[in-house]
Amino acid sequence: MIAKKTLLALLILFLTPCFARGEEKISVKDPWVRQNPPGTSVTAAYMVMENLTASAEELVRVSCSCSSEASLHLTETRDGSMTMKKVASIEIPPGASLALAPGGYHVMLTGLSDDIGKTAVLELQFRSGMRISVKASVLGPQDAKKRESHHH
Amino acid sequence: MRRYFLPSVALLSLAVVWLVVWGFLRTDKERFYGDEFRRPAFDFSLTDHANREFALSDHKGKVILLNFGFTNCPDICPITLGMLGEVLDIVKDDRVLALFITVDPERDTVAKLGEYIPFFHDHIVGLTGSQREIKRVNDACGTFYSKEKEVSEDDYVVSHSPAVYLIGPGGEMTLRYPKDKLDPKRIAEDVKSLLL
Repeated sequence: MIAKKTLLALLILFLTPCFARGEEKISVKDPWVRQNPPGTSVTAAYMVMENLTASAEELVRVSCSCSSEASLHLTETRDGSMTMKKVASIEIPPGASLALAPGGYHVMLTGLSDDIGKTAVLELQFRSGMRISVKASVLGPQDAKKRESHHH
Repeated sequence: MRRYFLPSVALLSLAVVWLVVWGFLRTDKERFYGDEFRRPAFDFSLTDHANREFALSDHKGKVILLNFGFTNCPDICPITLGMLGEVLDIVKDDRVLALFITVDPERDTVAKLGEYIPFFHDHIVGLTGSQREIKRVNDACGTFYSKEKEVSEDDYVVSHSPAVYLIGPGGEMTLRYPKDKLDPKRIAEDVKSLLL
């Protein structure tokens, strides 16, 4: 009897991490929003997403508490000129990490008020139906520089 | 012993000559971090963000760092402006000027630039003006800009060169920093060496 209970307890103990892992299918690290300069109503949000599932996930929609609209964009160079294009979705292969970072993929936020405060909530929506809410720090030029220096 | 003397001297002098030539070529090639981009002196006349006339020819003797952008640019322009602010903080010399020239003069009025520019640094100069004059500066830099309507129907972005251009104290275009060469510390070194 005791042996049976111990076995059950052990089974639960070993299985628990599987369930816990299953809850967090995509981990979002270091989300931040660039503070919009005065007089402007656009800015960008960045983060690193890690896909912990066994299948590809696709980010299809983002909304932000700080803006009226949000869309997925890619900054790219065409014939020596820099431009941005809208992308329908951003795929993250299974087990891979994908960075939304300055000069590459980013969430373009439009329709911002002059002072968006210190934090903003980003809601990410994936093709699979998964939704993740993250709290992002709003960073002014000095703090943004520290994050950007990794990408130079 | 004697029969080794002459060949040794010859070999040694050859080594010395080779070292001198190699050293010379090397230092010449690596004198600057920025890419050599020599073009003759040119001039332009625009309006700064405090509504004053700004002519390039009024700033001879200074080192000028110039970049293009627009205030509605969410990603790349703020990064470059932050970087230029850092260069100014490292160099700390009145003989260096950082210019942000808008490629979207329709929306980027003097008032708009007046709000936007000081957010990044007190000493960056924002410039706007006629399309003709802005195009002239782009031509001198060998670059172009154009409106892209891909964002939405009523909004647009302006594609433009992400590079920073350096104009030497004589008013001539000297160096170009493409987007993978925007390290403020190393740009500051180039600026300092040109101010000596």
